[in-house]
Order: sequence, then C-alpha cells, then structure tokens
Amino acid sequence: MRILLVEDDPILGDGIAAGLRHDGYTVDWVTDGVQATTALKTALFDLLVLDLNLPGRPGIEILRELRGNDNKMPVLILTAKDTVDDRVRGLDSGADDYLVKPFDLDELLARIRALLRRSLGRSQPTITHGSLVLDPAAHCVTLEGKLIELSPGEFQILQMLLESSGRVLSRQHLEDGLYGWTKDIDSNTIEVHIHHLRRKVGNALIRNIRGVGYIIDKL
Amino acid sequence: MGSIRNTLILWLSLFFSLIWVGFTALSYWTAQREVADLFDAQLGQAAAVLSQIQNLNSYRPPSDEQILKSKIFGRQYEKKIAFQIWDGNKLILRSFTAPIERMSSLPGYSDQNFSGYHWRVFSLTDESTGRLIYTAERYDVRNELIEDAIFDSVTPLSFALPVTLLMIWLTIGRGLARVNRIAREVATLSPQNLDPVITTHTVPREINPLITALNSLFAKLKTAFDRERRFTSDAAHELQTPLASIKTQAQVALRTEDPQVRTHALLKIEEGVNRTSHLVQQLLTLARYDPGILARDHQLLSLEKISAEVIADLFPSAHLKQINISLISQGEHLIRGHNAGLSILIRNLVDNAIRYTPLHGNITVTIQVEQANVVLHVCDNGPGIAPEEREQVFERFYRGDNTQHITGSGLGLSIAQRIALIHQARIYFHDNPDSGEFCVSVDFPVNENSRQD
Repeated sequence: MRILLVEDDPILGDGIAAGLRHDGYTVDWVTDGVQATTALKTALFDLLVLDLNLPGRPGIEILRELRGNDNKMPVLILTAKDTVDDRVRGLDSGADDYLVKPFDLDELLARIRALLRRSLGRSQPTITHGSLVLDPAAHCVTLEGKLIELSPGEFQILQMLLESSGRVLSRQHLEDGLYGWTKDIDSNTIEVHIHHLRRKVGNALIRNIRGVGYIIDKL
Repeated sequence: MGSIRNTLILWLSLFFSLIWVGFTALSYWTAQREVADLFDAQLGQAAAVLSQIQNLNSYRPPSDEQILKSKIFGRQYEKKIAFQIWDGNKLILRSFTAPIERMSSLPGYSDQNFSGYHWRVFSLTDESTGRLIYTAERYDVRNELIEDAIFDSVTPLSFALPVTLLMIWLTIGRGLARVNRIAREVATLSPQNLDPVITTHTVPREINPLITALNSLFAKLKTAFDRERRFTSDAAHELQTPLASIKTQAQVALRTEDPQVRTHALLKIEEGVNRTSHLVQQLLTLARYDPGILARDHQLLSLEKISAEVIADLFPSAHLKQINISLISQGEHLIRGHNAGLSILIRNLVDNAIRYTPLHGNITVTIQVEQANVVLHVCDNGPGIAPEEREQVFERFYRGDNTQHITGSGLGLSIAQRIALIHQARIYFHDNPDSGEFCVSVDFPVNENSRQD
C-alpha cells in the first residue's frame, strides 16, 4: 500500500512517515503543495494524507484539483484548526476523513485502514479468501486457522494481490507499492517474495501471468 | 466627589432657604417702616383733632368717672395710647394713661420712656392758643401690629418653603433618573458584550458627550478584546502542530522494536520540545511587550552596547554557518528606551539575518545618524524578502513561502514591531543597490534621542 504524505512540519512529517512505515505502508513524504501536485501527477498512490495548511499551495486547492481530475483516491486531511468551518470546507472539497492536530497515531492508522478498506469495496476489516484470512490491522495471516509468519514485504504483496483479486498486478505496480521512490531495489526482489509466499500459503494461490504480472483469482 | 443629586439638593435648598430668610427680613423691615409711618400719621392726626376739640367752648374735660368708664369699655389698645394738653406750664387735660409731667421736651416725633413703657410721642403747638398738645402710643402696640402684619404675609411663604424644597428634590430625582437609566445600561456591558447599547437620541443632551466618549472607548476595547481573542486562538493553533509532532514521535518510539528508529524518534521529540518551548517563549515575550505598558521604564541606553552584547550572544550560531558578522558605528548613540526590549528587538533582527543568510555570508549591523534620527541597519547578503511580502512578515505566525527548511516561530518580527512601537520607532526593509545587500532598519525618532560622541 503506497501512501503520499503531504506535511510541511519536519518533525510531524517524519513521525507520521515512521508510524506508517512501521505498519507496513510504503510512504512518500513531500513538504509543500507544489511537490505534492507533482507527486500526484507522476505516480499512483492508494491514499493521500494531506495537511491543509501548506506553503506553496494550499491543501484545499490540491484536493479540489484531484477531485476535478476525477481521481477517487481516498484522502485524509490534517488540520490544526478545530473549527467546524475548516472541517466542512475540507470535506466539501473532497476529503473522505479528517483529523485535528494533535491526534493519536493509532487513530490515524485506524482511519487509514478504514479508508483503504472502503476504497477497495470491502466492508469487513479482514480479507478472507477461502481458508486464508488476512488482518490488515493486526498484521497477521492465518491459513485454516493457523498463524503464518510472513515478512513485511511478503505481507504487503499478499495484501495487494488479495485486495485486487481477479486482477493482474504488474511487477512494477507491486514494486511501487512496496518501496515507493525511496529505495533502489534489486530487480528480482518481487520474485523472491512471491517464491517465499508460495511456500507458505500454497503454490496454487498466486498465479504468474508471464510478461504481465501476478494474480490471485477471485473465488 | 459626592453625588450630583446630593450636591444639587444641598445647594438649591440652601439658596432657597437663604432667599426665604432674606425675603422675610426685608418684609419685616419694610412693614415696620410702613406701619411706623402710618401710626405716626395717626398720632399727628389725633393731635390735630385734639387741637380742634379743645378750642370748642362747649368742651369739657371728662371727669375721672368717665375716664374709668372708658377704661372698662375701651378697646384693648386704648390704654396703650395717651395724650396731654399743656397751657404754658399747666397741664389742662390728659388721658388716664398719660403721666402728669410732660411726655416730651422735643417738638414733633420722638421716642420716650415713661410709666414703665417705651412710647412714641408727637407734640403739636396750637397756633391760636399757644397750647402744647402731646399724643403718644406705646411701642409694644406697634410691634404687635407689625408682627401680626409680618406673620400674615410670611405664613404663606413658610408653607411655600417646604413645598419648594420638595419640588427641588422631586425635580432633581426625575432629571437624574435618566442618568440612572444610562448607568444601568452601562452596567449590563461586559467584555463579552461591548456593543454600544446606548442610542444617543434617548440621552439628555448634557450627557451626550460622555456617552459618545464611552461608546468610542467601548469600540476600542472591543477591538482590543477581539485582537487578544484572535491572538489566543492563533497561538493555540500554532501550538497544535508542534504538539502533534511530539505526540506522533513519542508513539512511534513506543511501538517500534528497532532501536535505531526509537533513537531517531526520541531525538525528534527533543527537537520538537525545543521548538515548542521557543514558540512559547516568543508568545510570552509578545504578550509582555504590550504597547503602553513599558513606556515608564525607559532609560538612556547605548545602542552600540546592546548591539555588541546581542552579536556576542549570537556569534556561535553565526560561526556555525561561517557567517562574517560585524558592528559599524562612529561613536556612541544613546536612545531613551527599555533595555531588555531593545535587546530583544536587535536580537530578533540579527537572529533572522543569521537564519536566512547562506553559508559564508556577511552580516553588518550599522548604527548612524540620518536626518537627525538614529537609525540601526541590519544588512545581509541572504535572499531578502520579496517587496510584496514585506508588509505580511510583521503579521503574527506569518512565514514566507521559502522558509520551511528554516526553523522559526513566525513571531520574531511581530515582537520586533511591538517593541519598536513602544519606542515610537519604525521598522522597514530596503535593498541596498550598491552592495546588493538586503537590510532591515529601525528608525528611532529624533525627539526621543540625544547623541553623544
């Protein structure tokens, strides 16, 4: 899951990014409105965390442009002003949820999970595929009721494939979701993760479409 | 000062009472004179009548018996009047009230004492017989009559006095009731409700200037309250982000198992706390330098001395960025001002210059006389402030578009502005076209300063 974080405060931005990464999200963090606009134009994100009070370009403007381009990406806004006006303006401009500073990291993560779940059309907090159950909040996977140990990378790939079951995800898409722009990665890391995953959850679950990518079939 | 009501009632009552007393005294005096004239005329008249009667042949003096009779049936005043007729040295006729010796040795009207009373006597010489005719009247009769007359004229006035005083009391009360109503209206005002509730057309004309002044004061108070409220709200919002950053980093530190991530988060918490306490410090400074509070603490201070101290304090941070910082001045310039305030003002300007000047930059602090004013310039070769931003930077919490990489509260220039205001000084920005430097200058007005070489 790849999240774009737009927050100009260096310490807060650093903290949110660290918290999100700890929960297995891939975070790209920019500190002003202009950078945010560029980022949104050049890459695909699963969710946007947007501070409203930004240098360069106001958050509200970025939000309006995003919705104007018919982008349905879930957006959570952060605001320092606890006034109804401010929140209404944010929600009316296309935000899906908001948090007022200072907030609880746990609450931020819970709201992000809820937003992602809804944007992927699920109503349950866990993803079930046959006897396989993935819990994004608890970060655990069970197969026939037994806990399976997965590395963070394996977990993220499995989650991405399960969230889009029935659709082929390209290797590039999986790489972006896993690393963002931040790290140089070995070109066959995805294959390594898939290889480990198949050993743990069974060979049949993840299919390789040669030259296109990977898919978990819809049940 | 006592109440207007009491003052009015006291003085009006006093004046009315004095006028009443004066009027009574005047009436008494006038009546007395009138009555005296009247009675004198009667005495004269009586003497003339007596003179006519004693010439008639048929006249006989009354016997003592008759005199006794008349004494019994006479009016109460009769024993208080007396007469004598003298023919040469012989008393030929007298009233029983008259003594046997002459009532007076003087011609015309005179005052005499006899028979134990004070009398008014008139003597008349009859031209044809040469007889002396005396008529007399006791003074107590006159006084009694005068007093009766005075009493009759003053009695209604005596009733009028308390009525007048009551009317004064009522009228003043009525007039002041409008003032009381305004007082009640003013009493309903509070810092939460400072709207000018008094509409001037219902107010007595005399109080109108006061109400107008009050309304203007309320408007100023309201502005000041609004400003403070906005400031508190702004300040609270400014504190939200640093607090959020500390909280988030603390939660990251708590949940991570990676010691490197935890150390990083703890360092960020420390940084966040430092930043927050700097912001709080700045807010306190801003609150402390409220205009008008400190003007009385001013003393004569050397701008050079304060600047040198500030530069020495800030030198380590300038040195870190390899910035060359210098103080240029001819002699010493004295300013009447607030020591700590001026120190904060200069510190904020120099500190800004250090923050925004790139590595190996130059900062000069110059103090000189320009058009008789003492001017302090802080110039640097940093990026400066765009002309269109130069007004906004004085607003609280305003931070320029390209400043997020530089720490700051957005309050430094607001504080500098406030302190300058207390010193009636002006802060302005300008570019120096010769050196290409950007300068912020403080212009201290001439009448406040004296120069000493």
